[in-house]
Amino acid sequence: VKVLVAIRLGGETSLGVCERAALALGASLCDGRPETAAALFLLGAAERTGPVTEAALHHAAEHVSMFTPALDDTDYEAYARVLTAACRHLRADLILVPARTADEDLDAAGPAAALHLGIPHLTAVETAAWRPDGKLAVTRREDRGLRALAVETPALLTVRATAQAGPVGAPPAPAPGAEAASFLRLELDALGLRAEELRPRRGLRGTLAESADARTERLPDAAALVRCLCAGGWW
Amino acid sequence: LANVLAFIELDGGRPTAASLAGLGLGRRIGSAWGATVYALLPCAEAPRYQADDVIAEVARHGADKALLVVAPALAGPPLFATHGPTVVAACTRLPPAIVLFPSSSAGMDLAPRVAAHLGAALAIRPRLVIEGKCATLVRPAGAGQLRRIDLGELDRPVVVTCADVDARATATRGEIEVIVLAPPTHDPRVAVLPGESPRAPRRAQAPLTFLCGEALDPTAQAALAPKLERAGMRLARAGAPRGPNELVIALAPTEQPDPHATADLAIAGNPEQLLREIVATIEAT
Repeated sequence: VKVLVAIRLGGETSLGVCERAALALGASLCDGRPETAAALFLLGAAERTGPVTEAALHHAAEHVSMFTPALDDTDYEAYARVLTAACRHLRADLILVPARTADEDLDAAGPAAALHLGIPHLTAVETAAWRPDGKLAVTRREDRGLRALAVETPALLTVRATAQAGPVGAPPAPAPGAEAASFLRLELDALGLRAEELRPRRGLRGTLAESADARTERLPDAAALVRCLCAGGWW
Repeated sequence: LANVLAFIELDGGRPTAASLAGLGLGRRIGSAWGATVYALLPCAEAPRYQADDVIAEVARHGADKALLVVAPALAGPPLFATHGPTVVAACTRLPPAIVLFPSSSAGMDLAPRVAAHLGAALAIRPRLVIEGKCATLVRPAGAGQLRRIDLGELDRPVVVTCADVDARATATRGEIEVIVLAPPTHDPRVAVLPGESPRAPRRAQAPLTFLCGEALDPTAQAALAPKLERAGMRLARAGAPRGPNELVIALAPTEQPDPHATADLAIAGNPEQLLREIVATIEAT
């Protein structure tokens, strides 16, 4: 079984809490299971040294990255197509994607890739563990609490950070014995993709504009703030 | 004429507020464009067609027609695995120019995959601006910028999630046409396990920083900061460098002048009191 943690990098200088949660979950699903191997796939329009260096400290049998300007200003679907091709190339059985990605599309690329792969997906996953029957037991964050589900592999899960993730700004220590690894760089054509195929997805996130409308959103009270944070996937 | 499809998430047989917000947003677009607004109702049991049932409620909130799918499998939590085939069947039947979902855990499981199925653009929690027949979706993009999607210029459908309960619409419609769709099969590879949902504390999914408009009492700060940190939030001073993907929330005594013009969200009031209320709310959620 190959567990692939796929992380989409944008403008960040270090991994976020959801990225770290996905890496930690990937490691825990391989722990003590010699038949299960972890792989790591980083993708983005431009390489970000900080997150790549940090991700390399996590245990994974394979470290693969792809940074291509063809993804610049594209939407969830372009990333989903690259992720789909990478999952096929790397023969992944279980794909873990951070719930909150670098842009405001939240976890849209993961479910879109699951559609193209023809596999089930579950979003907002907080825990996952193997069951004796080979399925995954999953807890998913819903509006009123956690929901227990079982899912067959191959499958794709988007992973939320949990309360066990530690304080803000403090990345978890690297797994014991982990050493900084180098990443195998893939190009689009190695995945059977061409830049022209992604071009139609440019601009579909909307046109960027400076605007006085980009003002602070005012909320009446604490309850409204918490509702806003939950609905926006911030909390 | 264009079709607008609003997915209605039910809670105890009633549409959720966020679903009605999506329907209201669809109503505004439908009225501007002359489009037909459909409410998609995935029900475990057939409605009774009475004045207080779910069909009457979506009619009161702006639906022109209802697409009804009845299947016991739709009783569970809405996921793509359980409800997605129903949405795809509705999209095949119409097809829609705009599909609206509530910005909820269910909506966020459904919307991206439906968007990919349609080859659609995707807008998460936008604000709708209508000027004449021009409808634009607007979202904050950070750094004082916005992303604007002009719906009239798109050459493909758009999938939207909506959370703005103020977007709910009211209509004086009586009866509306109900189109019954055959229930498609759900994905058997995902199963909801029996039992109560366990309670577990939530955590911030990205850096959340509170900026206070006036200095906190050191004792109060010492008491509140660890509780915020456990939820993945932190306190910072005005002018502190802002990280990428960081959401900044200003707590200021008065609305004007704004001491934190760069904040994403703001609440006017006493910062210490507001922080105590926020901590109490997140601990109870």
